[in-house]
Amino acid sequence: MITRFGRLAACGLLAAAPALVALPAAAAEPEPAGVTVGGTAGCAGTVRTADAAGTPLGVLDTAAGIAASSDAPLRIDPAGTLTYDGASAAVITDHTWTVTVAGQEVASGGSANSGKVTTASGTVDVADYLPVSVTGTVLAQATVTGQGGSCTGDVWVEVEGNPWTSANGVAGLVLTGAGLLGLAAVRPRRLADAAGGAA
Amino acid sequence: MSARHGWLGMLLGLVLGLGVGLLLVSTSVLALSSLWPLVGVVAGGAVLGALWGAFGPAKPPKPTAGERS
Repeated sequence: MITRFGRLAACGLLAAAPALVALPAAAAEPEPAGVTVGGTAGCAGTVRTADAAGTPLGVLDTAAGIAASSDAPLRIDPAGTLTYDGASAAVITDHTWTVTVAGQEVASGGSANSGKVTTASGTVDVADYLPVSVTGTVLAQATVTGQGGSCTGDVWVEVEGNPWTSANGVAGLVLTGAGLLGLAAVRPRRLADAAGGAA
Repeated sequence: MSARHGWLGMLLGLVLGLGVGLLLVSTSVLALSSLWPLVGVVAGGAVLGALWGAFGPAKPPKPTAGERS
């Protein structure tokens, strides 16, 4: 016979099981510090973000050691702009590059770089890369590998906005509400015989 | 004895876990360097839902045809 307390204890232990499994795994991996740049090609760069009105939001500078940790990430306005400027000491030809967000590859490509270019710069509209309004803090990582060396970098990015009206916020509210309503309806039901026996 | 709904509870708990996970991400409470923390929240919701469906506080039995009339 399982007592009510026993059920509660079992519920608590089983509910905590995924977290107990996930936490040691997460603790074992050192958290990226933000704007860590590595590789063999001697890369460096700066990133500046601004809101829709052009007001500066955040700055990264690998040479100056201005980083972006998960506690103080690089702030990005979905309606704003991002200006980048990067360079490598060595020429990287026949390279491939990948960009991952939260550990998932979101873009990749490559180039022969026959012009032996070692710099890249430009300004992009963030909206071109965020077709739907999302908010949150994620780790973005980029890698370039080819003949002549490689470069890697990672940075914590916070996409700003109202979390309750963003696409992931609204989806979260809808799913949370649906889950709670559904769970309220699927409680176990006493059978008539058991009720009669208990009475 | 009672009719239990463990599988249905797990499915709804998964929906709830996904919703809570998305809210945690959107409010930056959960900063993601990988998707595993989100998977943990969703799995935790599924386990809680299964336990709720199987062992949650029971509803009274459905009235029989005689009781309804």
